[in-house]
Amino acid sequence: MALFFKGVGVGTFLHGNDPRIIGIPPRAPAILYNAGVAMRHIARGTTVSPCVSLTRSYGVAYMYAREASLTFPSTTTPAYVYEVDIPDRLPAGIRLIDPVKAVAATLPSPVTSLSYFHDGDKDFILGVASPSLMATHLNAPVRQPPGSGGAARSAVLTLELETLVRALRDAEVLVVGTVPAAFVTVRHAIV
Amino acid sequence: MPDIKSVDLRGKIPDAGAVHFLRAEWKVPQSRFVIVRFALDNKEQLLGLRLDLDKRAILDDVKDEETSAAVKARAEQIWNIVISYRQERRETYI
Repeated sequence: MALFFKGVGVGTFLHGNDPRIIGIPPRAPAILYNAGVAMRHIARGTTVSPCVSLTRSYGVAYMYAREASLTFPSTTTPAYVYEVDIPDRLPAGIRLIDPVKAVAATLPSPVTSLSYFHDGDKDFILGVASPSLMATHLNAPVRQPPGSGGAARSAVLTLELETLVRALRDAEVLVVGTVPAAFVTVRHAIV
Repeated sequence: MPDIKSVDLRGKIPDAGAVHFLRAEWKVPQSRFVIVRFALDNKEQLLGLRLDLDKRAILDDVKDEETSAAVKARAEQIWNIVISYRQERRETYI
């Protein structure tokens, strides 16, 4: 068994539909899962997905519940963090995806010209992890060897690298299919 | 609990069909999400829309598919206003 968490903001679908009763369904169960779907789910604004995000971190789920609400949580209408106990053997119909492993499996050899590696400074990763707070690192011009010329640009950022960093930042796993209600064990109110 | 911080959106973001954008709000300093308050058919709605600042995306739908698409297309403009506001007040790290 492993313990995961799900943050649920006020006004969202799961706020009005208790996951301990209905489970946690994906928004678009009919869409076929592949690594590209996982990457868009994690790194883009795609909400139409066959995946459900969970995290190993209570802190991440707490932040999500508290901040990702459609109105501010209050003592009368709190947001929630749910504990989700996932067994080692999953029932038929659902899969647990480690996005880091899923993306890593798609990566080409390091010698291919288009790879997931960035070519920015070491702080570039900080900008990828927190693009709204550390945009300076994300947008910093790349350094080139003296005299090499070329167009001024910021560092290369692929969807693969963005996904890897965000998944690690949020300690995120994906469930393909509906998380059964029986796995959702405890609810914490968040104000 | 911290006070609500907000940035006015009125007159800065074009309407999306019957959706009129009012303001972006947040409580937690440097929060990743803000709530975009809006009026639908001239009535402010109790629930706003979540703007994920890291993804530059509005996560929620309004009314119908066409209106939702028009609303989500405004995310970048709202993001620019919120981030500029925060940078002026040094609410970003850098």
